[in-house]
Amino acid sequence: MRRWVASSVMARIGWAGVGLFVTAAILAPFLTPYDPVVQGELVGGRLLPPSTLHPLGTDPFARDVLSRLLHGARVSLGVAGLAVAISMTLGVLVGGIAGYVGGKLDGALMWLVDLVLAFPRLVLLIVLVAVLEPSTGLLILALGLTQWPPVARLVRGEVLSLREREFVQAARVAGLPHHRILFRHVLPSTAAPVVAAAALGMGDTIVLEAGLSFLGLGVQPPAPSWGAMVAEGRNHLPGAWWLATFPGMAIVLAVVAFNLAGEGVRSALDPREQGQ
Amino acid sequence: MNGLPSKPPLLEGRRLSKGYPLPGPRLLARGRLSALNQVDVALRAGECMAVVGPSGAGKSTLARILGGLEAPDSGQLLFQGKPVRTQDRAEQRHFRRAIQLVFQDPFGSLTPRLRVGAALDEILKVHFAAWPGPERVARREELFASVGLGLEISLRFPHELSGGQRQRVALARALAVGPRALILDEPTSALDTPIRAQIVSLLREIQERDKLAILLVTHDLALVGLLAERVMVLERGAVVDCGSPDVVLGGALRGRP
Amino acid sequence: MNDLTGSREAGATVANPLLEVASLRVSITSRAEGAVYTVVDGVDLDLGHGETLGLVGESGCGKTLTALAILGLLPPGAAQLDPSSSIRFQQEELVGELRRWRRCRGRGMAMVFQEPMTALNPVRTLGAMLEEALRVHGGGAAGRRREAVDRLDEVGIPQPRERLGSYPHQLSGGMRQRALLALALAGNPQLLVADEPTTALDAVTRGEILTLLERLIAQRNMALLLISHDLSIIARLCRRTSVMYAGSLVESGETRDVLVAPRHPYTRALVDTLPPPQPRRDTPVTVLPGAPPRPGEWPTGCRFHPRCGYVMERCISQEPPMGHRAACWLEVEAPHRLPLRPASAQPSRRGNHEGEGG
Repeated sequence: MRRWVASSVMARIGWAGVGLFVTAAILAPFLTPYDPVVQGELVGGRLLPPSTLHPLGTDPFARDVLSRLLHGARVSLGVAGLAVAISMTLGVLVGGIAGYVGGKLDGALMWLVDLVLAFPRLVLLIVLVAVLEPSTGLLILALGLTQWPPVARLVRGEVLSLREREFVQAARVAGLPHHRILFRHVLPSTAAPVVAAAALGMGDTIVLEAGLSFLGLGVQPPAPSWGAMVAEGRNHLPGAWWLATFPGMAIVLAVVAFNLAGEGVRSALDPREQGQ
Repeated sequence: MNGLPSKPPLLEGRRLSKGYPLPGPRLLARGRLSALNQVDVALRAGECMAVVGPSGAGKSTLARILGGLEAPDSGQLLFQGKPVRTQDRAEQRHFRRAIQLVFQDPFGSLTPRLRVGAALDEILKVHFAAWPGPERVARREELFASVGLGLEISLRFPHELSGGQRQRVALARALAVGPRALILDEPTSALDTPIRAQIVSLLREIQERDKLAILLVTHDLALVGLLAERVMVLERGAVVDCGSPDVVLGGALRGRP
Repeated sequence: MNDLTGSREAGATVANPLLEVASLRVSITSRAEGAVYTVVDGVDLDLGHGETLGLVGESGCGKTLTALAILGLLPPGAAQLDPSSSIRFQQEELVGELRRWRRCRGRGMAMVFQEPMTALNPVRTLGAMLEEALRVHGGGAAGRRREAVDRLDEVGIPQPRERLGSYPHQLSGGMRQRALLALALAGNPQLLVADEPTTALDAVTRGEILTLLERLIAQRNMALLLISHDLSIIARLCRRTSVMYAGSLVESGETRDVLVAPRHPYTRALVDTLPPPQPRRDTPVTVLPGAPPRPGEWPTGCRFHPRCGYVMERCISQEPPMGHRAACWLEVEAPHRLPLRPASAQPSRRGNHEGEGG
């Protein structure tokens, strides 16, 4: 783990950013003096520009933008994190089993992967969410269920080459059962590329969630999500520039941080896998 | 076992043949490369037999078949005189515990992300599920000691070990299940000469102590001389000579490069 | 072996040196631990035109990094050459002179690696690789093709004309090593560095490649720096031998002297652990316990002292200087014990524990 983090300056910046966002999300209730959802003093409190009292200003409902932004980090990162967890679990399981067992099962599972990949992800998401009642739970599930196929492919490829390695054969000679060999000997060696994929996936998912929320298909108001905040702020852009700008920046920075971190892990793995 | 006049060999292969598809551009017209052709081999309990031959002679294929890692295309594998049916799970497990294979590259054959102590524990847990924890730990320590490793080795990862230590760990793992025979595929060719001497000495010790049968697959004739009682020469997948090392390799041993 | 008849006082300076390496120091950066370790610690080597020198020691002693450093091929970012090191080739300093160094590679010095499969480009034919390497001479395409055939013929590849179209995976291990040699020799180097050139090969092929190397260095009057953990290979090809342990040379001299009367206990152990000429099941085996220390874990004093059978008080605290032939306090303190007697061959049950601490 330390090796992946410390691989380059950019990776370090990325991981620091990730840490900052996650900390902010976790500590949001303690950092913010205002409630993110309850409306404030509507008379004289609406659409205030940034000031010492409201560092990022207030919105049309007189709510503090900084408070909403920090709570929005919980929603946006939480949704993305859970979705990525679902997709990684599913991807590692499907890819691992397909690669290890091989044969017909491999064929069938990879056919399923191709099938899901054949649809553009955004279209799939919009259809899923539009047909069913939009809710945060559904959003997480939809994001997770559309992201696993590339992970499955990645893991399957890794497992196919690991399966031929001598230590896997040695585990067979030692008489270990297959599930043990797969979970204890084969899959742990795929951890590094999976972590890289997860970090990069976080970036994608944050953008997608913001996009869906922007379209009103994601997190429902009044819950603060960065995408929804940008959508709200859009209507007041000429006068109250701070409404859309800050959540927009948050999205960009979070995505860049996760991508740098993921790229760092990937490049740390690239030159030589073994530390020797 | 039941008072037969002559005991059957511990492990026997009868007319073993194995081929691999030749790599080629066209799927349909590919020929098959014959790696083993009607090979008869028998390993008696407690003896050390060597299989030698140039690379590509089918030595490793033979080792893998006898170790139960690969099924022969034709021919029969017998364990204590009875055919080994690899489909039967219980029987396969019994066979796995009796015959252990040790690979050429000790680094490649140890799981990189598992501490070596945990790797050994795992095998003990699977094969001796009834043992209580402390007994397993004691057995693990005993195993490491028996291959000349200290206890501090348990917490190391394979990449933190030297080549000699890795091969010792691989041997400890093979011994963990209490086998009757070890099949060693080029056990020293990835090691430096001083470490080779260490492993030769260790193998002699293990064989004498545990009354193990050893099938030694190698191209290193010095190793054969130091360890083997019998030697079989394989060339292009067929047995061309068999006998005592002095007779079979007499000239070759003296004329080493 | 006939090379051994030449006599030159060990340690004497060569009249017309080809390669002079002085206080070579290399350190590696461990990414995992974020630490810098010295792995080659003040190595001195010199090699005259057409001379053969063997560098022997267990893996992990810094032999390969020494070779890579001489060629200027240390992996950037992972290993660093100390700028105070001096590497002179044909009496020109190479350290800090990257362009001169690059010009030297191929034409001046070349290297063959241990694993020919990974050292050859898997998607190019032998002919393509060889013709590219021959381009340094100029000449037309047809001339290069003819030259390539000759070169493959020189390293004993049968049917060289047909083989030009072969890919590395279509060749056997021995043939690949021959092909690698042909590539290394394309620029007619004056120095060939061979790093464990036969370790990946079986005994018969190993003998053939050694014979080939012997012939090539004689025919071309090429200098050879041969790196191996196997003294028997060095003995066959090299007139002089340097023994390396934990980043430093511990003994240097004429191969004949080093083999017959080693002055350093480590050399003695290397000689003793060679397989006996007529091995039998009851032949006693001499065991050198333990393994070389890892970089960063070098012991104080003489780095060999934890494994040494002749260890004295002084060895534990003070690093011995390079003496007439060996870097060992025995040379200073107890010359009467030299040359070292063979360690009494131990029965195989004894001395079998790895003497490695944490």
